[in-house]
Amino acid sequence: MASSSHEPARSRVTHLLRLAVFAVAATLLLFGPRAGPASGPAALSAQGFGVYEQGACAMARAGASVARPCADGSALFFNPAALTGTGVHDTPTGWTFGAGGTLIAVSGGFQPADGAPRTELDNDPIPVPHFFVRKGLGENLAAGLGVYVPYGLSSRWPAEFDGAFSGFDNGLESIYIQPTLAWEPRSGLSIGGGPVVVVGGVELNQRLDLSEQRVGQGDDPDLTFGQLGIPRGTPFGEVRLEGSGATGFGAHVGLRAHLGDRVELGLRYLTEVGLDYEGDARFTQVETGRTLAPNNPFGLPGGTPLDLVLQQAVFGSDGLLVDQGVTTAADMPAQAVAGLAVDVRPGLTVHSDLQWTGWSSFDEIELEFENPELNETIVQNYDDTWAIRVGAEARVAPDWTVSAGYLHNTAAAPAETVTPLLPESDRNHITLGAGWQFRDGVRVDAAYQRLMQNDRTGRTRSSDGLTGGPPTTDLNNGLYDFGAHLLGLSLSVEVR
Amino acid sequence: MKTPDPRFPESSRRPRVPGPLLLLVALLVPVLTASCADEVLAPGEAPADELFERYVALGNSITAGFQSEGINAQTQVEAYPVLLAEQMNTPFPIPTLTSPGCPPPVINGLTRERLGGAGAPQCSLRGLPAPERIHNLAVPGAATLDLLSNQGQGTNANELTTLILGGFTQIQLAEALEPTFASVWIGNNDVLGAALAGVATEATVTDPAELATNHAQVLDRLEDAGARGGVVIGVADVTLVPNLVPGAAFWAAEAEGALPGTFQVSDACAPEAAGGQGEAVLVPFAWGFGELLARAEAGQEATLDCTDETRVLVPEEVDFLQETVAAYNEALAADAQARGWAWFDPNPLFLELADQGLVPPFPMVSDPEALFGPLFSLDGVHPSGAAHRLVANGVVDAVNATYGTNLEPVEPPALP
Repeated sequence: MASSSHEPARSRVTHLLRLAVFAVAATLLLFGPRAGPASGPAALSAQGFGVYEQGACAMARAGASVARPCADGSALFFNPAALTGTGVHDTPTGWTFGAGGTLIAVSGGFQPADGAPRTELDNDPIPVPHFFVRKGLGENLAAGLGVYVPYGLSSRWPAEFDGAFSGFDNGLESIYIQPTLAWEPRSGLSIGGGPVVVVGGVELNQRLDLSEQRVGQGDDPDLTFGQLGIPRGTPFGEVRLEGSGATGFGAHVGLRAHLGDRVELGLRYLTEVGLDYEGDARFTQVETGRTLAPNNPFGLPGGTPLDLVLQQAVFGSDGLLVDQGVTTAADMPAQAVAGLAVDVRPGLTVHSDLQWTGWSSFDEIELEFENPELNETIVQNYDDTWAIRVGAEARVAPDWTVSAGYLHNTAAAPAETVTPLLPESDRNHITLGAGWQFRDGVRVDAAYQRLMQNDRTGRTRSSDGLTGGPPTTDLNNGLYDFGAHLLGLSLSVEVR
Repeated sequence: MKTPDPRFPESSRRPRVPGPLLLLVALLVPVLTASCADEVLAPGEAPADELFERYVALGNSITAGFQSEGINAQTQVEAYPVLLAEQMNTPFPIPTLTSPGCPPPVINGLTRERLGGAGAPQCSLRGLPAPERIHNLAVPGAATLDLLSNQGQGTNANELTTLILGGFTQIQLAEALEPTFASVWIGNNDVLGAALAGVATEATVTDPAELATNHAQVLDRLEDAGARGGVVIGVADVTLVPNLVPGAAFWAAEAEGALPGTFQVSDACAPEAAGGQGEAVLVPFAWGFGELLARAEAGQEATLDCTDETRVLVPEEVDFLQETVAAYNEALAADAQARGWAWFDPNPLFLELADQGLVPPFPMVSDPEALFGPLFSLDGVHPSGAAHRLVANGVVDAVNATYGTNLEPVEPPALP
């Protein structure tokens, strides 16, 4: 192993280990207090609420990395088989530490079809960290541990937005912890994989529409406040649903093969993981400011503040909307990726991946409260999605590489369930980035990604209130637009 | 000197594109060509003028679309503000009331049978989904003060007040809509109750000064909320409605033998030429038909006395009501003019239509489904759908004249 240093070997290793620790610490600092498994980042930049930016090097080539992942440890995500074999990690017994994150700054909004004012998304930039460590165990064996967030969602809208009745500050994160073993049974063919432990959390903040609320008096049990003159979109309460600590198990496997001198093939499969969340529903009253007129259909005296009635009847200790436990479940979809890496000429490699994600497993969200009267099913009916990723990486100097890429993915949300929770459409992304090995075994990568989502018609409500019924595009009432700038930074340290 | 890369022998350095790369390019071409497909909203139609970007209507039963003692979605869409909004090409959601209505309209002027029959609910409540915003804020029964308050002395809140306004006042909802244009037709109920009760005194009508003050406050608040203009519609001369039947018409009906033998009409109801004052006396339908005729048809003696100030409008009361309405309109017209708002007085229109014989002097009992002619619904007070079209055109003319706009007239109704 070449070295430009005159330090004794042991001292140099200690120094590099310190650098690795620094890399992890810097990641956590860089991506702020929300970053890290405990606090849970949330983002959406791949199809559905997938997050594919698990390393700045791969991000720079549009994530096309299954055939030849980057040498920063991110092979744990992009292809577990690539922890061993040639062309990626060429340190049979060494350590690789990789850490970094992606900052995702989203923008977008909703333009109602009726010409009412547009509403802007209210998201702050969202940090998404990752951490990988890989240890070579010999010429044809390696192990590793990865912590990454392949699924995350954050959508924050103003509470005054009509979509707030679907959700105005929503978050979901699924942190994958993946120990991995990779083996090269014969030259040019490696396999790898390991179990994944998934820790998930979810948060949904929703406004409650009085017009959809049942009055609970009179002969008609389905009589709603809307029928008595309360207009649609009258908030009278908010509910915060929070569940954390859900744990699920799955597996992630990969295969990598050299098809001649210049072409490599990669395959990987990440299984679907089911998460059962247990949490709390906390209700707070929102003042409507309405006062009942005399001779009102509620049979109450004129001048009665409606909020007082609601406070006593609905939010009181015997009311329907008291703090209580809630459970729900969600399936994190499976992923299957196949790809090629082609050395077009010395120093220039083209990567291409075709990805399938099983979003059809995300068909509905069932919220089950302690009081079953509040149970709600949010139908999503997502479709499986496809993505094609193409990237090129060129070595422009001994210590420098530059990359660029393009990817296109189809939308998971069908036309009838494009809602504020995930106002999604087909997306196009362009990426570029650079990597610098600024000293032996130490590499920093930076990448930029522009996400351009096609504008898509959708709706502001997850359901049409108490009438229920299947989702339908008839409820679509406006146009969502969405885009994002992503900035990735990774540091990797290789200790031979 | 460069060291040759063993993976790239000299023979392979020819400008040759690898097969997988070609496949990739072949895959990418359709993706790239189909990948940018923005969906778009159907282009919204622009209003006829920016002035009409957000139009709200305030008022009472006429503006709400009340007809034949009832209101439902069908009568609501026949109302003049809905027609106006169509000409303005501006959104105008209304508080739709489910059929048969709240209450269901009368469908037979004599039997007073209502839509849906006797088993129909008195009020079928609001239709769902209720719109987030309504632009027709008018409430049946509202007098001028009711635009500002639903509570307290002098207000007239009823079940429809809550069903339509949901716990706010008309002016509060109007302010929240930040209207660019408003129509205000209010004041009829400040005199109508007195007229229909047959007791018209200063105590039974709203004082003109008080009405003017309340009305001006409504316009002030509309302007403060952003209204750049509007139209004030004058208070209708309630003595012109066919619900108030001239005493002379009863006298003539008796003379022609059209009334039951037990129904007596006093000499005071005779026309002036016959020594009475019958042309100048107005008999509320509820008294002349609802009480007296019903009693007579039951075989009981019934007498219409055209001097009974507690039951009919004697000439002095008719004069008082007309003077009161004139005083209202004088103040409202002046205020509208001072603000630069359009002003439309409906009374010349209805006088002209009456002169054309389109308002029967005596209910057409032979046609209970058109008891009061083509211009009034079966309560004899509220305009029919046809009359709403004529009112809408009057307002269109007034607005165009004031603002230089080019609103098209509504297709006029087919009248006999």
